[in-house]
Amino acid sequence: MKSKDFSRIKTVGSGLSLFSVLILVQMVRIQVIDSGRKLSEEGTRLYESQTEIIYPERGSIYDRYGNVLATNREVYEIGVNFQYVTDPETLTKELSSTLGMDYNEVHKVVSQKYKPGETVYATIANFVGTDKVDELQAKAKQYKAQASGKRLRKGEIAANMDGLEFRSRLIRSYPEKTLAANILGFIFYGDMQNAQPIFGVEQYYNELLAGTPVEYKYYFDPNKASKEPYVPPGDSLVLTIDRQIQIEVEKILDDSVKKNGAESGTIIVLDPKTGEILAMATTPRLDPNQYWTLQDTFKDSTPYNRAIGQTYEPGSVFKVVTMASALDNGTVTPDTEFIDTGVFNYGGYSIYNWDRGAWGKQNMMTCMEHSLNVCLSWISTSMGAGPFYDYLKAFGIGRKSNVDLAGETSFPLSVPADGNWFDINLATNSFGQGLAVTPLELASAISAVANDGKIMTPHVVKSVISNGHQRDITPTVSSTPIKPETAHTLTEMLAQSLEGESSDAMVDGYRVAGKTGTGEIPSPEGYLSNLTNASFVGWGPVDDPKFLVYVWLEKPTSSIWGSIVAAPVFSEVTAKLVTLMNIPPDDVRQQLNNGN
Amino acid sequence: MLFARVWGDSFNKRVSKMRKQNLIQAYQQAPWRAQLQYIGIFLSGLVIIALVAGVYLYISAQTASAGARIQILDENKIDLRRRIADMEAQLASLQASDVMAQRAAALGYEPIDPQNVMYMDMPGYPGRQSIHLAPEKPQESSSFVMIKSSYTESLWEWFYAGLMDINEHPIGGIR
Repeated sequence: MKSKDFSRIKTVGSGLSLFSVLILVQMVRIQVIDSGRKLSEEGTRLYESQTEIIYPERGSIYDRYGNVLATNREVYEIGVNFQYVTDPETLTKELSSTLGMDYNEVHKVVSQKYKPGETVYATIANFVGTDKVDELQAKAKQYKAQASGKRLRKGEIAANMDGLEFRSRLIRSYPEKTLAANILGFIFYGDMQNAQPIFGVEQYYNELLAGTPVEYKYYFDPNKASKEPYVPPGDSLVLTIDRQIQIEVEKILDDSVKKNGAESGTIIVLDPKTGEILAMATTPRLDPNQYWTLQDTFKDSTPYNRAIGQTYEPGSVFKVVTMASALDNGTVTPDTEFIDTGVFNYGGYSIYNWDRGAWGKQNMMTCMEHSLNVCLSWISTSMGAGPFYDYLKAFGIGRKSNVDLAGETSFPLSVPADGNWFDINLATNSFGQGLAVTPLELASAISAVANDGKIMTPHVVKSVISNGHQRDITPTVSSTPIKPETAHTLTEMLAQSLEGESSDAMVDGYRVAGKTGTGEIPSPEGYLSNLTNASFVGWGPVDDPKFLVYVWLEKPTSSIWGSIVAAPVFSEVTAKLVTLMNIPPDDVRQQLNNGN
Repeated sequence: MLFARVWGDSFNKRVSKMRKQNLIQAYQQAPWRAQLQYIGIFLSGLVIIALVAGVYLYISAQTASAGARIQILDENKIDLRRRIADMEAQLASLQASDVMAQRAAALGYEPIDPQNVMYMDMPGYPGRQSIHLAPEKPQESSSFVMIKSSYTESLWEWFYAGLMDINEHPIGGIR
């Protein structure tokens, strides 16, 4: 009996020993054999750590006084993890009712069977706001509470919303909706992960706004837990735009376009001394929060921002550039006399005035006041092609203004060396025909007259907030096409010319300088007779210009003339500007200055 | 005679051997005592191993707990950052120009008539200035291990570090 017990013990002992040996052998085998090593590596790859790219929060965009123009809001992707779904009916019911989706459509997705590696997760809805998510979470909690106090029969499942998952992320939000939309651009979200900046500041400054993503190795082993790296948000931008001025300018523009039956409109307000753009309004505009309406709002090839994205023949506003060049060059002085016979023959063509009339004896101021094409053609041809085009280049005509906005375009200036330049161009270019500019390009060129002959590079970003520091953008001189004296002389001439014709552009209490423009529209059959581009450029106060306003109404139907259509818009904008910019009327300002 | 001597030697050897055996038997512990000693030594070893294992387990548990908490806090931090951004967006919406205009109108404010504006010279007042919004300086951006080394080092490392410390700062030595 004793030896039998001993034999059993020996058998069990031998079995256990053999089992231990087998474990050891297997351990060694896993360490040694290739597939074991691969398994170990795969395990490490899958379960030891995970590398994530942490994208910084996109920087915000503010107006010059800190009002938010673009920031980020939280949205959710709502999905279903099939592994945990036990009650697809309840889940479908709640999802479809909360998200306003079709029950059958949701049920088709939710009721799929879990297959590891294949059917694991499905997205139900994207870009869902926090309010809906809170609602769903509350419902899920309610079901859980009900289930916990319920006694279930075998096989019975309590109603629940298990398997519902939320993945949050930030997307762009534009609290001012359509305001300054043409300046800001927008972010296009193809899906939750890929955001693409389109147009405006968003695209131009994308690298700064987006920041630098950081790669972070995240260990599942708590012993190796490391602090998640601090990922600084993208740089924020403070724009030169003044929200209130932008509001007023957009309002005036929309009213003017409507009132005059124009196809579109553009108004630019800039500070000629710094090149800061205070407002830039164009039509149409979309709400960047609903960028998917882009195709409906911008039909065919309508540019997103006409101020920088559309060139046109400006007409007589261009005479400011011609006259500035001729005065600076010494070809004419304000008192130079010109006898207007009503026609100017050059290069085999005849050039007429806007009214086909002969205005007789004129000086340079009245040439501008009456906007005489014949006079300006005589000036440019007297000047000669070489100097004339050198000046135009110095004014930046035919080149992009280099404004810090995406989507800027330009039309190349034809000069005598080019194959598409003809003698007649020298005459027609003088009054803004046969060349094309963007509104900002011409506004920037003419700003030289309002800023002692210097063109400041136009810009919309005033400062960049990066890593805790706000860095101001220093205004830079783009070029100096004319002398300060020329600028002062021409400003005075244009102020007098407005006063002489009692222009609708004038503003009570403020002396302003400016010029109207009525540009004919070229077509394959020649210039259209009944459709024009009505423009006005003006600046003030004359003795110390604080603003320059450029107005362009495309194809107005109320009148074809810039003096009738665009000049009152300038006046209206200026009246608002002086209040918003705290510019006292000239007499008050002089009193205040004398008081000092 | 020779026989007698040989026998006598053999006898003497046997007697001497027997004496030796008796002597050994006299000083040998009882077998149960020796067994108890072995069991004691074995149990002491077992207790030491259990203690070491316990310390390891305790430290590992604490480390795991701290690590898991760090991970949870990191996730909370991300959530909070998003919530803050969302609330900032909500605030921006509440301060949007159209909302503010409505609130101003409700409070009885109206746009000023330029004719009624009175301008005054205010010495020292530079006029309305553009905003300075620079936020706080960010923290350093590098990632570093947060758990103290005492949670992760082995007993040997702890012992060695202690030894090195004593070498560097001998007790009673002059510093």
